[in-house]
Amino acid sequence: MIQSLFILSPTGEILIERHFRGMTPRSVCDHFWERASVSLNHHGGVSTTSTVISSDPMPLYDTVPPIMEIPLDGSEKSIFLFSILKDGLSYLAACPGEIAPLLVIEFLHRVADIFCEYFGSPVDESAIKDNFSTVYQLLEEMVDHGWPLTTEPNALQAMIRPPDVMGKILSVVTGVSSEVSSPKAQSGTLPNIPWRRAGVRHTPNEIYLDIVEEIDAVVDIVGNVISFDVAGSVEIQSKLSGIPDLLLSFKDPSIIDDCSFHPCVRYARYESSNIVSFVPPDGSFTLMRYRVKPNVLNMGFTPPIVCMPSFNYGSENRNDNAEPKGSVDVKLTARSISTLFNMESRKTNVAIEDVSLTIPFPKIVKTANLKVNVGQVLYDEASKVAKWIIGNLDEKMRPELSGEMKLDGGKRPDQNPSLTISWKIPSSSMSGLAVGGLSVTGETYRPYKGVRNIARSGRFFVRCN
Amino acid sequence: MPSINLPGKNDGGHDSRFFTTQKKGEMHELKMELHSTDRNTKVDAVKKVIASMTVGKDVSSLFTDVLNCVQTGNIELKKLVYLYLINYSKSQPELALLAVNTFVKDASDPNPLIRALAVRTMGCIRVEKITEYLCDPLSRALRDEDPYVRKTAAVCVAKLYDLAPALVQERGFLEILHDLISDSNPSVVANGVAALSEIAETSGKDVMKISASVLQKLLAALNECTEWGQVFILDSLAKYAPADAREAEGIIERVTPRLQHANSAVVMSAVKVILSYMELMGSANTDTIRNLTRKLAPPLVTLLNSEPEIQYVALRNINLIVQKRPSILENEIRVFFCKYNDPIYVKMEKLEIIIKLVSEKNIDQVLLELKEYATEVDVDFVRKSVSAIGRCAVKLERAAERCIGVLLELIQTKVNYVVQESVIVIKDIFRRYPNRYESIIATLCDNLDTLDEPQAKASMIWIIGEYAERIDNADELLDNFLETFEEEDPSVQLQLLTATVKCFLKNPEDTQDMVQRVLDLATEESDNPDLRDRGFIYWRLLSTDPEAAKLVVLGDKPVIEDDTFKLEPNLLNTLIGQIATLSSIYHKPPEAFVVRASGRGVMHLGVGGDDMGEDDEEDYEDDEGIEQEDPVDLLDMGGMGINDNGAGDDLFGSSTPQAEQAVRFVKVCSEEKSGGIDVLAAYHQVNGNVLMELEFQNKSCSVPVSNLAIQLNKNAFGLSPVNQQIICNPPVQVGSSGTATVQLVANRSMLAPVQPGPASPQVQVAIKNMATSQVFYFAANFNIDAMFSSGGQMDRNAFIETWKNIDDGKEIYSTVSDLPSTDIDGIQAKFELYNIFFIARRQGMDGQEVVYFSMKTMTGMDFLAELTFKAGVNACKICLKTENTSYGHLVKNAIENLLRF
Repeated sequence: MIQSLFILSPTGEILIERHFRGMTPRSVCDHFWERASVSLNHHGGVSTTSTVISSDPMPLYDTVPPIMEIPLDGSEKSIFLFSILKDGLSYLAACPGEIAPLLVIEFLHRVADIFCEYFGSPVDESAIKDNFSTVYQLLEEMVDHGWPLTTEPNALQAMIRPPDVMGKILSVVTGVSSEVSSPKAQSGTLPNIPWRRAGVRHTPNEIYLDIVEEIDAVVDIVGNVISFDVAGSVEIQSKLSGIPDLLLSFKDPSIIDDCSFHPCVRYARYESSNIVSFVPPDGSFTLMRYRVKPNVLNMGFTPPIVCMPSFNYGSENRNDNAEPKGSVDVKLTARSISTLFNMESRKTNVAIEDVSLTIPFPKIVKTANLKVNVGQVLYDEASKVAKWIIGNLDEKMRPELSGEMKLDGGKRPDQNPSLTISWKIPSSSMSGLAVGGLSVTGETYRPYKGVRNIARSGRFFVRCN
Repeated sequence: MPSINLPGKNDGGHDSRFFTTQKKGEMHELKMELHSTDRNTKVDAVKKVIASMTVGKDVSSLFTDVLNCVQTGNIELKKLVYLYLINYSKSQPELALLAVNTFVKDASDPNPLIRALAVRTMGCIRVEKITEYLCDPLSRALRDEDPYVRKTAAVCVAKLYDLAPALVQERGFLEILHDLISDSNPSVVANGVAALSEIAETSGKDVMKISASVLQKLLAALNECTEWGQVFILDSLAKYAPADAREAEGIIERVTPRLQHANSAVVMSAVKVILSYMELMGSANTDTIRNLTRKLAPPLVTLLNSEPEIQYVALRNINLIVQKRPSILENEIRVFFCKYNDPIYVKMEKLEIIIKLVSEKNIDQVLLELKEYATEVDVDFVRKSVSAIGRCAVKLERAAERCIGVLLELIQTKVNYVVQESVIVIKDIFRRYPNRYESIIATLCDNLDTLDEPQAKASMIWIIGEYAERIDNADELLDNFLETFEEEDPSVQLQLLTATVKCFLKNPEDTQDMVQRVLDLATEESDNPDLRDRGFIYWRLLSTDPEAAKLVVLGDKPVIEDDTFKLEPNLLNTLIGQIATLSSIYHKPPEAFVVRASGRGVMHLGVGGDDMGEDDEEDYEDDEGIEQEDPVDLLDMGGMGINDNGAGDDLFGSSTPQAEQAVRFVKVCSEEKSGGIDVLAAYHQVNGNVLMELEFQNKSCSVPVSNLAIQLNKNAFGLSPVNQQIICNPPVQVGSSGTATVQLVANRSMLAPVQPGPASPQVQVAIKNMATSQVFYFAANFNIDAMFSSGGQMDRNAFIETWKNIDDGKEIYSTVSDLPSTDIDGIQAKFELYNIFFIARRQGMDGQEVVYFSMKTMTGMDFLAELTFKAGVNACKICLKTENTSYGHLVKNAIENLLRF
């Protein structure tokens, strides 16, 4: 089982250290960091700029396998170290022997998620330091004797009160530590529904349901879709009092091929009647993830945006001594014939939101001077990544990025990094999955119900050769 | 802004300030604050103490002061104090004992959180003394009305077991844990199961034995308990062997919904249960198995949409699954295509699986992908992709030409490492399809200058030598390489030597000088013994018999095979049962991950390591000693010719076809346990089959015994029944008895986890009486001679060699007296019946007779025995040697028993 848990800062410093059974020497973390820091994205240091460029920060390292066997100094034994990286922090779990690896990795993710829930996103070094006593209390509840225990946010909230913003402000003003003065909280004992807090009260009662479909695709340089895949999920934000029992049905459940559910869902009911029956946790959660039946996607996929990149690295046999240069030009256009727009939305002007483009330049590019006619572009010198933030895109716009690259020597690039496009289209669905009905039983109130579809890019690549 | 620097309080809830107080007299100040009457000051002080603890400072001097703060109604403060206590109780347990009174008091606090906290913390203090205080509160906590306390207490039992297993049994805590499996609260169930499984694992005892009723409880709990609990339950189920295919199917039905869980650990453990049970169901239920196969694909594919770390684990497991059951994912190759921003460790694993799933149906798509990968950034990934193209060619004959086409395209990119890797795999393609694709050699030769890595150079040189007759300037090309011969890597030198000799044999006129030069270089200039040896061999071959040299050097080479299915089948079968464990990540057998019992194993290893050097020396001396003796031994044995013959005759005479192994029944189960049936059991071997003979004596079971199902627990021999059904025909009425024969097979997946020390002969048996639905359990000790293989006769020289090679420390001695007979010929004959084979016999000193025997189990363990008899003494000295020391005593016992009757 899990012997110890460490949380490391982005510079490898131990922020949190907790031993559940026996001690793990700190040197284990040094071993880890030695290997992790070899593959840091930047020159031995930590990228500070990349968070500016990309909304989801570039990982600091991604070549360290999530499971490592680390020899213990002065002994013939070794220990297995599991690691995940989130918001720049490394979460490490040390296990002395056989254990289910997914149990550990899932658990580490859960720990990181809970911290997010408690301290807000992103959970970085300062968030951990600001809340270390809550962190320890949470770990106490989440692990005992090296076993993962309570990891449901609702159940934890019943035992450990999240530090709330008001309390913080109050304490700054009055100088009184808020955790102590909190009157309520920790009343709770274990609810019999592990994922739901007891005694929930909301006014008004509301529930919001998003059907989100993420489209992964690889598109070649002339716009042909090489492969695409749709990953769907149903995200719920529940603010319902008491113990509401919900029934969710889809208009055409046969669209769903394979799905995985939040523990609150009653499998048998879905199996027999395709109705999702559940008592929701309080707050936000993912009710289910699904994949779409292949035959639904048979008609193919036309992306909502055409991207035409062109890179010119100059001629190979140059004879002058001038610094070699190349040029880059990327054009984007919205496409109303996309599979994601229905007849209805095509009548009006189609709108795509949150459009952005990430361009990783090949190693031979020393620097790039980029201009755009729409939005703004940021170029990170160290990682050689440009991020072009366009925002909303409609059919009439013709965004273009152009610029010059200074190259290292007269070589041709030996790699062709793919561009990544991200976008979001509200009220759109790839599969056409729609809610048939959502009903609440077990409570007398009639909640406000909001249902919507969103289609957005998952890992959406444009190949450049 | 001076106000900012005022002591900590002003910045409110930000705990980070506690990390920054670093001044002189800090300890004293903290002490003062800990005794403050103001609650908030106290809390802050404890936080500061814990912050110091976190950064590694020693704050143990504040122990009593911190402990003082525990007397509070504020639960947060209490928790912090407890946190401090747990931390120091590890390094300074004597201090922790000071707090015992507090724990005991808190354990009956009206607030359940505090009750649980006290019990939990006490369990974390690993001092034996604390156990006497812990038992009573724990006993109460296990029955507490609050589930939070019960679940904490369940964990605490496991903690206590670590410390004082006897106490746990004495107080009946294990039984209470069993009760908790049917608790109304899912978290309690989860922890109960977790505690029982862990105790079962660490103790090696089967406290988590799954009986019919436990099985039902577990299956019910599976629906109710937390996701982590589900993982524990599924892992326990995976270890259970269902009585028959029907039960297996029933359990699978209950487990399948778990494939849809959001938690990947639950999904993977469910996959494990299903895959293991599929093995048990055998080939009889093809429809069911086909159905299950179909159900397994989607959840596995879904795992690939998760975080990269989860994908990595999933991919390592899928790697095993596609080797065992390729049909599950045969149509899903697309999901294994790499995404540009997959971490490198995910990409590498995906490539492995792509190669395993590639077929003539999807090869074109795969080649397009691999070609794309070959232009990516990461050099290792690019090389592996190029190499994958070659592996596709080796695997799929019909697609080889297309693969070569892609490789040639890649060579045109002139990217250094792409070219080198391509050359390396093209060599393999040439070896797989000789004389088919030589037309591309010219292209390869154009890129000679690019090659700077030994492996690529060696491959290219191999190609030149192999096809020297088709390359006009082969000698020139080799000559170029020879210029730098001395600087080359040994592997390149070896290839150069061979290639030059090949070239010479094919075209002797132009290359005589060259071959002379390379032979000189290899034999005279080089320090590398391999190179020198090979040089001398070629030299001698060429100078004595060039025709023979041709046969040797230009002879047909074995055709290489596609190595993508490379796990050895036995290991693969073992690993399939270990899905969702570390074994499945490292593709190593589970024994590699057994945590040795506390420290002892390490100590032992350490000593062994130290001794190693000396041992070696001793061995060496021993060897010399033996060598002086051995020839004598050998001669002695050889000189036994007459005896040998005599023995042979005797053997022939006595091993008449009618002779059978005697069957010795032992009572293994009495009527109280089995609902009125006494069971006797015996093991023996007939026609190479291991049989378990059962005799049922119906004492008081009103329903005649006719239809039973048998199941064995995992055991040290890997035995399991071929057929689970036992039919007694005619049915055994009350007062009568009947027998049944159960054929057993040894199967690696039924091997009990390896325990240190001697293997247990115990085979745990469960029998279900189908008529009454009663299941009863008993253990029937196995006699290992029933699994000695008829192929265990060792060659005499092999015997001597093996005997010498086994360390003397692995010898087991015993003496059997009061033998019924000391007639060696008779014993020999009897032993032959039990597949204990006579090797040799010699006269020792003082009228001693020494006889050697060999035996081998069906699972491949060798045992060598030396029996010494002395004229006129009715006793025999046994000396047994084996590498499988943990089974040695069982064989020794078997020999003793055979001698005695």
